[in-house]
Amino acid sequence: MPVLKKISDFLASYKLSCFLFLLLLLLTYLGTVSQVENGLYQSQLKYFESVFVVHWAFGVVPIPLPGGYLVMTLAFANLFWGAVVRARRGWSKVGILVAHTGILIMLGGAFVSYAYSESGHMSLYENESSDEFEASYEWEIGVGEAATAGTVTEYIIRQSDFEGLSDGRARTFKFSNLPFDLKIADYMPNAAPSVGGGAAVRAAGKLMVRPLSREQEQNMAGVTVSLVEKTSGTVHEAQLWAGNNGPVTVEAAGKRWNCALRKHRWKLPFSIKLDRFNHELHPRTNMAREYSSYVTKTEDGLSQQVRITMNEPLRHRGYTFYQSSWGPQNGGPKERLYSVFAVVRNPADQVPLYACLITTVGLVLHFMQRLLAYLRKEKAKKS
Amino acid sequence: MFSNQGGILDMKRLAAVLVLLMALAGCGGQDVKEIKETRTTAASPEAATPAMPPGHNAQMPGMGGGAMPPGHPTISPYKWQLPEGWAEAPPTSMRIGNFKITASPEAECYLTVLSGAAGGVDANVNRWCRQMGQPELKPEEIAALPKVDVLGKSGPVVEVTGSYTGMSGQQFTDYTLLGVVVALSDQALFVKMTGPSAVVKAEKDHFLALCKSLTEVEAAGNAGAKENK
Repeated sequence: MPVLKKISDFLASYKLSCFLFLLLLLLTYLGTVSQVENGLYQSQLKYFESVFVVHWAFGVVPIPLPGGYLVMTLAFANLFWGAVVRARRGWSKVGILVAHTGILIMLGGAFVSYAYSESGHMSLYENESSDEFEASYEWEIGVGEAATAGTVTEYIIRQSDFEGLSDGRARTFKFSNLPFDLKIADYMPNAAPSVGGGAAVRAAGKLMVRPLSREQEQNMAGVTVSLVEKTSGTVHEAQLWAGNNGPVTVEAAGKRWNCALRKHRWKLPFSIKLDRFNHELHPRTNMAREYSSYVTKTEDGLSQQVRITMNEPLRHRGYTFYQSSWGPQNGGPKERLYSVFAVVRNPADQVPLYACLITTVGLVLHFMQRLLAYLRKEKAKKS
Repeated sequence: MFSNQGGILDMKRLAAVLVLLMALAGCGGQDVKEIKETRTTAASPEAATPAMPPGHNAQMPGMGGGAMPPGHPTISPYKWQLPEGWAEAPPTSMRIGNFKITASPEAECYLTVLSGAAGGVDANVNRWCRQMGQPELKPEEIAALPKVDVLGKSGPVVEVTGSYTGMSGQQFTDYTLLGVVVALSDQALFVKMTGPSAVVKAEKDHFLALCKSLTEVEAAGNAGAKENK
């Protein structure tokens, strides 16, 4: 069919490849420049993890562009269709095919990283241990009984379920084992208590929307929740703020319940204990010259001592622990120190290495074939 | 959906919007979702926390919801009177209060609370001296520093001018550091202001007024939770 052929030709064309690479170049430039004003996280979200983006040239002229997600998806389709499915076959093209396969694997790995990786951090004082780590950016709302001993089972509402609930939108969440539903509204990506807003506002104790900070770590989300009792219909309203280190406690259906807006947490299949933290500074500065953590990893009753330094992370069961920072950085000489680890679980973390190796093999193969063909041609000319 | 960030259509927002649309279609306008994800954790011995106490309640953001290791103060127990011409910036990971001078944004002032003695008053005064590239003070010189009453305790007012080394290692010349450190019963309170000398010296009265205005926040109960029927 001519239409299908046209689409196929377009999808496999070099023109599309060139256009997409130029777009990637442009997005990379714009995304990098944007970091100055909007910080790394916001820029990444806007230019690379998006389908479409509107770039404001000089702050006044809107330029609609396809986002990084769309461009890379099209690049994958273009490469797959043009360089693998419709490419000319034969031994002379094997190198090219292998090299393109490597690039496809790289793009596929990028998608897996984007969709399935978990990244956060774990902070431990010396002699403390933990078996969970906390997301760097993603929020969650935890709802459970306000018990003071033993264990508590909390229901977890992920950020993707409530981040769209602003501008009058609300959503009701139901839990099979709780005597109430939870209605969520007024999500604020960055909020603060109404301090400094005048006595009247302060007395109300309300959260106020704050402009997004360029440093995503400084943005403290806020949300309004209403517990609606299933039997009586009684409504208990509260505001949750991520700046609160503890949960909000509400009495409903004769019991006390905790609701907390906090960073999402992931459970580890093992625990990490910080035995000792060492750091050395460059003279007369607070810049670290070297710092390292001595930790004990415990799994199924078996313990192993490991040293984590800036360039030697701990890798175990798909998790990687990088030495990230420490604190308190302005503490006195006898200050109790804590160590911060960046924790990453990325099923595709080795994919870039393998993809580069495959691409290299493909290119070496191709260039060797070309060299041999040239040498054969020269030899034939001389003879 | 285009966001207010210059027009983003990121995948998570798209997913959220699609789920919202599907829920709307399936429930006749009622946006409802059943939550099945659960997590079992140890109960908190002191779980009850005020929802949103009236007045200031800046805590340890950047570490929201317990990222900060135990041992750090979790809720700011203090409130203050903002001096005229100053503005509050969002608190950061180590600062329970963050202030800017509206007319001179290069100057900053912040409030930090650390548990325990945090090395002691003398060690922290001398740390500030070193930060400004100045020689350390002898104990008798520290004892002779002017004092200010903060939260019922007297703390030395340190004023050092020199070359300021910031937390990132960056150096600023002709800067002044104005600091007060107070040893409270089980924690140390730091109020620190740095900036160009002319600005900091002009704002010294405001700085001292901020220190004197610090008071403890009353226990507030569940002020943010209200009941409707």
